[in-house]
Amino acid sequence: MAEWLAAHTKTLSLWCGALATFAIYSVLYAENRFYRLFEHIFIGLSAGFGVYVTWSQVLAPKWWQPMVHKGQWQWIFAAVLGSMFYFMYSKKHAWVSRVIFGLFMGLSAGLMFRDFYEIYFPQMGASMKPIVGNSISWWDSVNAIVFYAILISSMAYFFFSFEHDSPVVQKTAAAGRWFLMIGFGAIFGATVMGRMTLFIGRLNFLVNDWWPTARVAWQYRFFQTAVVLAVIAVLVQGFRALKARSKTFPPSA
Amino acid sequence: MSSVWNWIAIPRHGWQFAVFLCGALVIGCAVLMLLTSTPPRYRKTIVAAVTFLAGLYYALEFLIPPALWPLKPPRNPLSEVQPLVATLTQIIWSFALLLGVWNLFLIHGRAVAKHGRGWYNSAAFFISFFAILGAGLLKDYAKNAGLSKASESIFTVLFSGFLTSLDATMFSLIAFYIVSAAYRAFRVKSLEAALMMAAAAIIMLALVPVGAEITNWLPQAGLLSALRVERIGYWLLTSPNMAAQRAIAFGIAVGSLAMGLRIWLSLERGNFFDRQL
Repeated sequence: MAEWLAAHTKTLSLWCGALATFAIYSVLYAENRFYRLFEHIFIGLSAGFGVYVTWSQVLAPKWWQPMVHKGQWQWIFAAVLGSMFYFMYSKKHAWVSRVIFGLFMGLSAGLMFRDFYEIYFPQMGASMKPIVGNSISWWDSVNAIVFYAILISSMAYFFFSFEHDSPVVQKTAAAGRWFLMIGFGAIFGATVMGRMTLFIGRLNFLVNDWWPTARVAWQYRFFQTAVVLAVIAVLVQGFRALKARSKTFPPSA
Repeated sequence: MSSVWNWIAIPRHGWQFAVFLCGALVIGCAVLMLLTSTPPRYRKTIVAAVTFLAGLYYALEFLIPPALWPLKPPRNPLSEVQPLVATLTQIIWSFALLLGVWNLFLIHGRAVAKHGRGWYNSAAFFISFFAILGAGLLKDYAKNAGLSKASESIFTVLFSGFLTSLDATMFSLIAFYIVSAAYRAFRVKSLEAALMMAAAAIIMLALVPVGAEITNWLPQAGLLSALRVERIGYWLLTSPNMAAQRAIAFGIAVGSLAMGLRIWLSLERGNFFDRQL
């Protein structure tokens, strides 16, 4: 059994991947049972994998093994602190979970100082680009001026500490809003194309990885029968979906 | 003081380990019991104190330079325990993972128990959850070589076959919804909307071969090459977009710092912070 599984792991993964891909894309036509089932499988696998990774990469090497195998008994206090999260299920003692949440909020707040210094200070320095210099071309100068104009006007738009009474501030903030819209457009375009890349990746998987395997499998009578049954199941499901849709949205007379 | 700390820190084995572990558990439970019996008027003070002390650790660790500590050679003792604090917080945070899992179990457990509509989906949730968790743990801990090998194969099928495919397909599905939502929601009725639409269109065209094909008649080098779609797209991403993103990031940074200070000093108000404990 173990040998057979090891020999067929790649093929099984290909078929499971193709099945999962078809199941999820079936929702593009209509909500259906096949999609719902695989959606729940996805949630189960993600949650199970999350627990496995947490155990194998954090709790086992950093908590369980030092405590049990190296005799560092003090780590049991981490479990006591961790148990405080679960007091949220008690109506009477729910406030105890606030203590541990408070601890993490305090730690995050304290880390803000470091983040501000280590992440944003270098960015502020990098934003101060030279406009003229020996090694700076005219195109670099134009880019630097554009950069300053957009940075200052966009920041002016976010100044809420004072009223935008002055016409200069008003106009600058208005320009900042236009520039921000260009930025949001760029983010939107890049996001759409990122998702499209994933979609192309799935098609690539189906065409180049799964399809050659399916063509080999087509030689077997068993596989042909399975495909015919699957097509019939899809047609029946599609027919039922069409029927349900025509009941929900009856054709106008 | 130091000798007491060293005595506590010594690893214990055998019966000593069991005694110390049980002792620590008893102390931990006693502290928890003490917390549960705290009168309501002190509860907010305790939460505020814990929040402040936790924030104070990282603030002092970062803000006080090693030279100011009265130690030789000059060093910051708070920095020395930072790896321990980081590990401890990572471990405690890991225990919180089961909160989400517990909620999922409650919802799907009820669905299976009631045999309501679509209960088999909830059953599939449990099967897939325990299948990948069991296969993962067996592959790592099974002493039988055959069982370990079979578990590894099952884990690979579940992870590479199902999980990565489902993950990529689910996220690629957003491409369809995002385009559909944009078609329904975007109307070029103002200059701002037009600028956003134009920027999005140029970026999308710049990232596909057909976009480059549109302006392929322009030269590859020289002044006119700057008008090629892929060049405009790249410039939009690296110059105006970068400046706008940085302005937003600076706003977020100042906001986070202010928010961090408010949380640290328990000045923040709202449903979570004002609730009676």
